Amino acid sequence: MSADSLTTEGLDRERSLSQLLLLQGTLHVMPTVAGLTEFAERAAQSIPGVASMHICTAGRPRSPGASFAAICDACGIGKAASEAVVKAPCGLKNGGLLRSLGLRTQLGSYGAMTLVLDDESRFRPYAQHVENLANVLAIHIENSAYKKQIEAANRDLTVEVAERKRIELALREEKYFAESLVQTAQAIVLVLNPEGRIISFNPYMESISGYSIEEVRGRDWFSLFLPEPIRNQIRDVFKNAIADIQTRGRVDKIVTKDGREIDIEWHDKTLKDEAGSVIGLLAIGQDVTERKRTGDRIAALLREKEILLKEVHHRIKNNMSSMISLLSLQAAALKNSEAAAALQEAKGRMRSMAVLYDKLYRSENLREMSLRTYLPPLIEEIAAVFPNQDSVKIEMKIDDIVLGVRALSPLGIIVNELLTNAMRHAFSGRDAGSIIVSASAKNGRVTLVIEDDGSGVPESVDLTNPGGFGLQLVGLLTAQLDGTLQIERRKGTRFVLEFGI
Amino acid sequence: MCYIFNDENQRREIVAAFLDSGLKEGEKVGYFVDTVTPEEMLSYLRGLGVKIPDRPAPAALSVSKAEDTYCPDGTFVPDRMLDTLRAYYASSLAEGFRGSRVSGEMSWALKGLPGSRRLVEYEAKVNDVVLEYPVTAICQYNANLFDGGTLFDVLSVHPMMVVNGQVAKNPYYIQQAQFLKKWHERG
Repeated sequence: MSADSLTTEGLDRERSLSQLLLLQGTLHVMPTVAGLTEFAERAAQSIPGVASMHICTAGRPRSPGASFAAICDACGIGKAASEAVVKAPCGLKNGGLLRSLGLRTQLGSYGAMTLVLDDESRFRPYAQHVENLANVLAIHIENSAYKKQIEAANRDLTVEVAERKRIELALREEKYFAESLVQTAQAIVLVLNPEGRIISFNPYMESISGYSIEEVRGRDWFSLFLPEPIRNQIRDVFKNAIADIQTRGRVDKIVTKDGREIDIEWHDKTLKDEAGSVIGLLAIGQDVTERKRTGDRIAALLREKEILLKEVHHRIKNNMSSMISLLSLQAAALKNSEAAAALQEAKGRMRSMAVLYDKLYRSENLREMSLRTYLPPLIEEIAAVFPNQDSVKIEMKIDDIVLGVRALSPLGIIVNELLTNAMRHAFSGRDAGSIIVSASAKNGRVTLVIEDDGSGVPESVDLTNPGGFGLQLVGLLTAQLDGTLQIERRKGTRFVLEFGI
Repeated sequence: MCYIFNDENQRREIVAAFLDSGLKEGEKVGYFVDTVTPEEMLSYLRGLGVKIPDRPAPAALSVSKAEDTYCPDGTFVPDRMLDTLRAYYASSLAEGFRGSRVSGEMSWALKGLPGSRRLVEYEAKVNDVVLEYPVTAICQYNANLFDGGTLFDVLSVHPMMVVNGQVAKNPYYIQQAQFLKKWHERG
């Protein structure tokens, strides 16, 4: 062997070792197992004595100690080979010697690398380096699998982080909105802990109480802000609120820093943590001092007005009683019977109004009254002046219908006229008779019926041709009530008056 | 030389160092960009500390689209590109530069443009050109985009390579004629 050939051999060996070294050093750049194996298979053709190399990673990863047959069962070449150099038909060009190496790391087995050798003696010096290459390949394949997992986890994490950021931003915006509301609200926003100590309140509370939150944070709400007489009572209200029995619209006084008492209307809500434990109470308060003052003034004025009205009704009733007495005296002094009867009729009409004002001034409500209160005594008073009062039976079926004074006054006169007519004319020449007075309401309309079983009004008398003053007056007052009046003649006479409430 | 990479940040640093070094040496520097716009690339380079010359002409640094450079009429013709390289070197000397260097992002070749399959042929031939026109060049190959076989071909035709940020002699390099013979045999 010449010196030149020795030198050439040396250079070739150096070049081959450099190639193997570079190959191991560049494999990490290949991002996929496919790229890695293809690159390595091409590069391995430069190894002396190697015709080709085949890397099989088709089988699933196995345990590090798996047998070669087990890790290579997915590969036809691998099945024919072993981890020793064997002569075997491999289906590749020219057949040849096969040398397979498991691609193993400390954590797992990932397939096999099979070399087809065309010159085993040339290959032998590189066998150890090729084993190293197999180890490096296995590590890169393993890393590639981990990298995929890490990338997938990173993608999930990126999505999760983005979602968290979005939620965080939304929460921040919501918090900012809520804080802005609390800061600018023209209402007290107060937070107490479960013991009733002040956690926070808003600038509006600072402005109306005169205290800054820094001054009072942590102090007992009840002893600092509530008037002494109501402290214990409000403590009980607070205990209820903490127990989820909430306050809605309760008005209580609080004492400001300068000693003024102001009325606050409270609405509250129990605050709980995620586990459902009570962590405090949120109370929203509105300063209603001025509103309450105005309400009290109005109530006092109303009371005063009621007293005055009662007094007026009393005086009207007294004046009417005096006039009724005067009319009686004057009727008794008259020799003309027609004139005396006219005065008696006027007296009857006045009486119906006197009864009304008498009942009004005795009642709590001075503006309205039930027909059941007004009509029975009126009917009794009307009947009482007639000599046949004992022989005429009067039956009353009066429902509890509340009407205002504006309707009661004309209604009283109408009842007076119709009842007086019946008492006076219906039972002439008879020993007995009966009258039924009924009042009922349906669909916002009142029906008043006065019927008797007497001789009946003459056919010549109707509402368009009333004849006497009495029925004329009834017609006018019916119109005043915006009502209708009908006369029915069957067995006796039946007057039916209808009007709206 | 070739630079096979899969880390974008590392690539930018290496490319910036390569271009910056050329500018400092007084060379005419050309960059053929594919993944971003020329403006974005200039912005990256500035961000990585490369002092971009203000004077527009004769420009010491030009950044242009790789596609426009390699396929000016939409087709890749290896010999035309070799002429372009020769002309670039000649013009840089004529303009008073001490030499020239270029770097290109080779991912343009994956867009299916006519002739782009002849890229490896061009890469094999370019080594002969630079013997006469000594343009320093880095061809950048993204391992995330090119398959392993192509990357090994690329490695086979570049006498130098960038490994782990260092320029190293490539032991896999084989002469143009030998490579092209094998390449044609493979079809």
